[in-house]
Amino acid sequence: MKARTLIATTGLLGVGIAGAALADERCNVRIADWRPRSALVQMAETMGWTVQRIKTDDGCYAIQAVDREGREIRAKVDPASLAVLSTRQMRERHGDGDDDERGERTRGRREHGDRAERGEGGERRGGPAAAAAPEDPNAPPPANGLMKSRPKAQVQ
Amino acid sequence: MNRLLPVAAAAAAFAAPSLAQARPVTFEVKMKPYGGDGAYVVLYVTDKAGAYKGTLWMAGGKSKFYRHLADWQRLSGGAMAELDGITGASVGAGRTLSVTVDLADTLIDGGFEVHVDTSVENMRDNPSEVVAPLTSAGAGKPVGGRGYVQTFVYKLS
Repeated sequence: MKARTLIATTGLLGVGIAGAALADERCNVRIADWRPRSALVQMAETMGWTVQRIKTDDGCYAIQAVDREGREIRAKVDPASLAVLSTRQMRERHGDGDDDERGERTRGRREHGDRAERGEGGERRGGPAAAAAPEDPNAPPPANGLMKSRPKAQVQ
Repeated sequence: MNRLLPVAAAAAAFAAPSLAQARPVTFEVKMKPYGGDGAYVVLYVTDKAGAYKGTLWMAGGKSKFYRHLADWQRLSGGAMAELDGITGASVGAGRTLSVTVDLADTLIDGGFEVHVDTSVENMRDNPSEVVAPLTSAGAGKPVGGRGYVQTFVYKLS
């Protein structure tokens, strides 16, 4: 009996560790090795998913899609091999935009945590710090061959 | 031999993408009242096949957030060195970013496209939310965005 309990406990622990590993999935792929979004959409279609949204998260592709049964799923995909690293199913929608709102809140918290982890917390992206971005008035135009002189920009 | 020199010079002039022939082009991005913080907006050029050619303007000063401009990041490889001198403030909701560039003449009607990627903190990222071909016919015709951009238009001078 004790042996059975031990086996069951070990098994549960194993599942827990595997789950945590999946939740912490990160990709470390050079930009040059990233497959295009079209290839990702093609891969998703072969799995019967209808892609609604693609973004990047922790260096991986993160897609939001609807599967064959009409369930909304989110998946993390390796950008080089297009291997599905993890999937999770979202709750069914009961109201207008209920699920979306929850998803956005989760994203906001995760992003904040991610930034705090990297010591970037406390700054807002579009706040006053960004508005006061330094500009070198003598900077030459970039050598990309697109422009003859430095562009002039203003926000009204 | 001397007779060949002018011919060679003329050939070289035609072969090189001539930046001497440039014309001012004004790009205007009018933002929707999306109700969030200032948006990071990047304007960049690709060819018809989607190959990255260069960035025209980056609105948003903190490079750590550029990864949210996903298509620009992917296509340019995060061309940070290129951004020196073409970076400004992020664009608030309801405001209009206006960028005037002395654009190489060869880019107009040359099969190139302007892309606009946008991103706002704690809101959705919109890679390539506007893609507009750079043509004389398309100048002055507003294009709507599918994210935070209400209208995008470019004007040739």
